[in-house]
Amino acid sequence: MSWRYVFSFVACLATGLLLTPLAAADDNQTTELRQQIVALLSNPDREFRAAGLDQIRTGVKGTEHTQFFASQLAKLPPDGQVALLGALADRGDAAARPAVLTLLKSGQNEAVRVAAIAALGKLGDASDLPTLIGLLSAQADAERNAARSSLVRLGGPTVSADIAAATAKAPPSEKVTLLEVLASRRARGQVKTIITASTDDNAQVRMAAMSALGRVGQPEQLGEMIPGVLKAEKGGERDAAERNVAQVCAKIENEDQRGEALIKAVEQAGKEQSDQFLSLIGRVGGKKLIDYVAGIATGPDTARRKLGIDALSKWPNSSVADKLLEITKNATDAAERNQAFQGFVKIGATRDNRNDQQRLERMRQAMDIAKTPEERALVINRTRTSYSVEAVRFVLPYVEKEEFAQIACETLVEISHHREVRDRNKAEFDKVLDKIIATSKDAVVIDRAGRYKRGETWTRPKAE
Amino acid sequence: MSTIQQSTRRDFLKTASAAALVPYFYTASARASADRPPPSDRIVMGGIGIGNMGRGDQGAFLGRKDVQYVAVCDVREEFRNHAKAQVDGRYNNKDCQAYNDFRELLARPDIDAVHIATPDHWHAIMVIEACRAGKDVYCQKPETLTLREGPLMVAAARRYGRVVSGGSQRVLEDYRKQVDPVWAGELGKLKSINVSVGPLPQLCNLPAEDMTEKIDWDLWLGPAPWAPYNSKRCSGSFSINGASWRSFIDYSGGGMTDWGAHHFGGATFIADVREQQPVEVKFHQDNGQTYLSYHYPNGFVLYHNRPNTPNLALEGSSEEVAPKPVPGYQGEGGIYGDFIHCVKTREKPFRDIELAVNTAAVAHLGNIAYTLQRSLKWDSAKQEFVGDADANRLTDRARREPWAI
Amino acid sequence: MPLDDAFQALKTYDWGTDRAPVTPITEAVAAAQSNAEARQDLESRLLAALSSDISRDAKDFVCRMLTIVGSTAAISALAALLPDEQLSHMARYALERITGPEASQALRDALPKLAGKLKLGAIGSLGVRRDSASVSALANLLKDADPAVARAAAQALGLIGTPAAAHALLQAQPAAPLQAAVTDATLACAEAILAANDPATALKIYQTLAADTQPRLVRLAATRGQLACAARTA
Repeated sequence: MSWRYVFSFVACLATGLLLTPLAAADDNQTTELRQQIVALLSNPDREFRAAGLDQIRTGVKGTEHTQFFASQLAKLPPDGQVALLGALADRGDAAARPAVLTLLKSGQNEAVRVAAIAALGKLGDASDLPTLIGLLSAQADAERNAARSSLVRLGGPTVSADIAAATAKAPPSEKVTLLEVLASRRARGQVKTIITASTDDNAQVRMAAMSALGRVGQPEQLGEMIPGVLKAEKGGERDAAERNVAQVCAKIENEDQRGEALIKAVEQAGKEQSDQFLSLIGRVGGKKLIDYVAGIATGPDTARRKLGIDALSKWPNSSVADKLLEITKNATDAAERNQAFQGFVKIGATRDNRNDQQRLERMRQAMDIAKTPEERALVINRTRTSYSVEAVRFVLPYVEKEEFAQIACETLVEISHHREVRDRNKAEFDKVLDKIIATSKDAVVIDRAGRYKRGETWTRPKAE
Repeated sequence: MSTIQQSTRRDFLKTASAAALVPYFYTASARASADRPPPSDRIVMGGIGIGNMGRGDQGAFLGRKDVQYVAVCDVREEFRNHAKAQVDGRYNNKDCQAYNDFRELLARPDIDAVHIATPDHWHAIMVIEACRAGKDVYCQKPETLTLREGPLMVAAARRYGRVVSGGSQRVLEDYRKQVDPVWAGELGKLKSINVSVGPLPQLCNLPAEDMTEKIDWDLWLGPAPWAPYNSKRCSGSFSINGASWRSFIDYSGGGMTDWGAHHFGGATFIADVREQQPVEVKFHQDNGQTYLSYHYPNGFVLYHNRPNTPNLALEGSSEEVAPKPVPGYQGEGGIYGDFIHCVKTREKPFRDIELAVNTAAVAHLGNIAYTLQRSLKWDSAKQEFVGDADANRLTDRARREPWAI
Repeated sequence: MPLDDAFQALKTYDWGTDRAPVTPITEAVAAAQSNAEARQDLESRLLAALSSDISRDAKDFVCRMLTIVGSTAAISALAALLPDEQLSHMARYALERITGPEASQALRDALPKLAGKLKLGAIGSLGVRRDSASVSALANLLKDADPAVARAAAQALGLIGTPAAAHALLQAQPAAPLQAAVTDATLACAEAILAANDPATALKIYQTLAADTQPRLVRLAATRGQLACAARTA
């Protein structure tokens, strides 16, 4: 049929029909609408199916309609079931829950089961916890992931407490997942369960518990987190535990109060344990603790000095920079000097509340006392935290020196990333970018330099 | 202007003889392989406006195995050629078609979806035309240039059942740390958030320059008032202080919409008022400093440039609120993956056009309040200011012929 | 006075000149809402400038200002510019935003005198103004020999969105290249009619567009529309 014919036909209809009002709405219209929607669910064209599903999501309201739509699940092929489950979940009416559970129990198709598990997260309640927790051990990855997401999402006044109770009794691998679920639910009321798990004999459980505390713990729980730090094995687990305690400390805005709260928490473990917490104290920082840690870093005991320098190097801001500089200059042992130098560069480059010129000044100081090519390369590398044209001028000469050319190009392209600096000094940056393009051997660095010169953006790849 | 409305690729596939017109069906890159879905399951895409943000968007879609990228469009020859080379390089062929005029790209029945990253003055026309042509759309932020455009874009999307996603990835990715505790109820009922962003757009009367690039100037201007070529006028750099189109009122809402699309989007997400628009914008003056407060129907207040208040500073309360789950992307691959997932499932994307339009509306309302230096009441259902005829005049502007929405 | 100086500066204002000297006009326009006398004075000065020998960019600036303070007094001067290739758009820039039937009347009256792109502009402005008095004039243009004019008329009728506009569109017998535009406008009318709480009329329109003979995308839109109507009455 040609378009012209279609419109002639339409015109004939229109002239008559537009003058004739329709009958008032009645139950028949509702029934008709439901039938239209059901018919669309089986349409071979997904966009027509979507039109029906949209109505289920947000259209005609009411429990009876929900039950009617849910009753269609059994009549659809798997891909139709998946789509309808999603729409019923978005509709948010728990009247669809029994049909979802039935499908979950009887369904063999993985995609359907995953969709049913996801729907349960939006439509279910506390009585679905055993089902969902049981599914954390499902064979299929997708089912396990869906169960975890639904446990995070599940609503109801007792759900978090019920999950916490299940956590206490769960085997280690399940306990790890449930601790993550409690953290994702931001279940502050269940920290007791999490604290208990933080000293579990299983390292994975401990780590999950400390991570959860880092997210939902409050300053009043600091003392109860300390045993978790002591129980953590030295190395990765201990580092992570300390970071989680520091994360909770950071919730205290006042720096002095933050330090005091940490010391109070640490003292509960007994004075004889104090050196074990030097690293943690460093991560939390605070003016009041500088002298205490610096005293150890410059004291007579070699082993304690190492711990002290390590702690200063973890400070969250540059307030310890002068101490580290002093230690670097005065150290007689080469290893100790190098440790302090690296700490000084790290702290000097930290992007705290100083300005870019102050950061650059620290890098100049570091370059003045650098002794080896490795130390100079480190300084060139970290100068990238000073987003300024002056930092560019400081690094640029090293592009000419073969042993530093590549790291210098990398640093320069990093500074060039900041368009507010670049745009203000476009002519100078254009020359620098040309030099990078001519010198760098790194394709990414060259590409970035080209983009910045053209005024384009570059998206940093997400860390794995 | 010409309206484009076509059948879809799936209809098109039924017409075997017509398939020969389009190279996609015959390319080596289009064949199924062990790690790529078969061609019939891939989303066939094209890109419009590939100068800056468009390049990033193109790269994101081009890198996906479930996308077959077949066409690029830009009014600048250099950008067009570069974008085509990127596609051809990826597929190791010469099949990507390059267009100067977006209408030709939209007329292709084999294309399922387009991404748009032109200057803002083109967004509404292109999004609406793409919907009329049956395409799904990923449109860069800020999605609108005027208040009137937003509802028309939403209407076109809904009319044809299109998936239309706005383009601010930061709304979810940058503000999640604030969203989580607020949605968990940890700050009680949220009273206010401050957003610091700007400046307003400025009038552009840059002088005429010799054209040093191959650009279709009339098509670059499109619906905007005629003006002579000037490289800063049409520069796609990120400057909002006079060195790019983002600075100028004919093409952009200035910093208010440019970064505002992110910050206002994040703030309204944090406060869970994404689905609403303010009912009032109050204009304040405090010791010579001007600032705004936007008032939402639920009592939430969104400040703009409130004195002595950091960007995105939250003000909670002791009033308890029930925790609620935080929505997020579906599919794999961030905001782009969310869009592609929804193209396949026909669900609404995280940054559904209606939500994006609401964010842009905040910025536009602010620009109008600052321009008129007064408080305004806004009827979002009618999309008009209450009792302020002058403000209503600023809800839209006439488009240069032949363009219209 | 700064405003006098600003109008003086407007005489030499052009692309490439400093914008600061004319800024007092912008500020005065923004502040003029509550002062009828100041508003009228500004409008008079702007209209005087518009009819004087100033640059295209200066006239562009004047039209931007009239977008806010233009009244019925500005209509004839702006309408006189509609046939001007260079100034037609900026004349509409002001005219399109001036409230009241007189501005619509001026745009409508200009239609027979305009051709090509300029005519498309005037048609588009009538659509934006949702001028229901223009339905008849626009319906006649659906049969225009220039397909671009007919297409613009269809789009404008879709924006007007009244039952009368829908009726005109449904009665049209468009040539093949115009069919999609006419259908889209008809769908837009149905949405407006539904939004105006007349689902019965909207449903009738959708039903006519849901026939199997229609292109898939139109059927999809009509199906969505029918569901929306049914949901409204269910």
